[in-house]
Amino acid sequence: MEITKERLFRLIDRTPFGDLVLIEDDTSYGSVIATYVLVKYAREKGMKIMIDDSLDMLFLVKMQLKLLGINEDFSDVFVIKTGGKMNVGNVVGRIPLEPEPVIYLNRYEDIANKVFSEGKYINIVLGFERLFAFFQNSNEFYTVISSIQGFLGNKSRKAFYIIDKKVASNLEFNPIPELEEIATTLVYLKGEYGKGKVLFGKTSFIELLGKEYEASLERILQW
Amino acid sequence: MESLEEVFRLIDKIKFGEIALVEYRRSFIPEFMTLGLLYYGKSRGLPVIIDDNFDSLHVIQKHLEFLGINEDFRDVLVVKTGGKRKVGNVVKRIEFVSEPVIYIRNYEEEGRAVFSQVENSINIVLGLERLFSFVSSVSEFYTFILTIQSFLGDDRRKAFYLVNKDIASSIPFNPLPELERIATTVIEATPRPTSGIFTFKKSPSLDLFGKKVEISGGELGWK
Repeated sequence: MEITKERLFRLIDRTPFGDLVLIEDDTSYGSVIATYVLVKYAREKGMKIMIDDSLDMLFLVKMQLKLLGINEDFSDVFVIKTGGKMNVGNVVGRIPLEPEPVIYLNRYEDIANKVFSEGKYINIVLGFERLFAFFQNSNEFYTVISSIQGFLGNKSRKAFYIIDKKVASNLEFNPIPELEEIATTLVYLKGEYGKGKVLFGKTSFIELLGKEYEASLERILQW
Repeated sequence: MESLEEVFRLIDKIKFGEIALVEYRRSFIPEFMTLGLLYYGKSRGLPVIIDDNFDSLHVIQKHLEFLGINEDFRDVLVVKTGGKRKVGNVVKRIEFVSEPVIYIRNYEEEGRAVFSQVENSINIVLGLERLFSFVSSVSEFYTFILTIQSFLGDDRRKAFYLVNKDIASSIPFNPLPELERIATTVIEATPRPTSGIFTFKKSPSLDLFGKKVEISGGELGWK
């Protein structure tokens, strides 16, 4: 079955606020396209968008979209930026990369809670695996994991964590298994040569389980 | 088997501003690829700039000589890092310091100066995996990665990064997963006895995505 815009948007509609959706990308352009689709969704529904941009991932998404023929400047998107130096979107918070995750998390939570107190958001988390590359021990790793758990059920956001599977799997502290555990919805992006497949590993909508949806790059670019 | 001109027409479709990653295993792929791109530049009237890290171009030239192809690369603008054997028209020498952060700053300043003098160019990067083998921390690794991705969308160049997959994946900070994600085009090159097969594993041009071409060494003067 092919995934259509209407079907997908209805699904995001039905995803409750407070949910944490983990999107594991094992394709060429899956993360870029997922970001594009979520931003498009939020705009069509008149919802605010907040992007967590770690280490210039949003710049990468913007440039790759441009080369795919889509000019998107993310100017209406609130961005909290960790590390990196290429500003994209409306940067409302900037956190330098801290050697101490506790300090980093305090700053992040302050800024994020302030943003979330001002309405309901589609929250897209990009480049999290780059952040996890910096962790050197379990203590640091679990400090961040437990902070993510703390946002679970936060009614100000529908959160989408987009993770590049190959990059994450290469890390000493691969966050995927723990994030799969925490997530309420688990989405796999697979396939090659622009013929993507969307599968659900975990969802409260049982009719989606065990099914494989086709998602062609060519078609989605025309949505 | 495709003719050289047919392959050139595919290279035309790779856009300026793209980063194309060419992954190969032990073979004469880098020799023929460098030569092919040089001929491509000549045929399209585009200057060719080679980033020659640690005498990689010298090795390529000697291998070509061994295959009976004499090429002095005199028309190529060379930005040279490390090594001591000058091949081609060396327009800039960047001192390699084992402190990657300082090296990158030098490269960004001096390398960009070379690109800014040329309108549109074909850029070939050789020996990148050797640079990455000097990386000794996550922070250095991402300084490198973010610098490479910052060139994405720079439409004065069409860049080809030739990387030996076996060498890259055996160094402590394996750059391949991040390079594959950053690159907008990924080409897998597989050697045959007297030809090479090139598969477009990733491309923003839908007619290239998934395409496979075979080029005979004879097309490039190998008798």
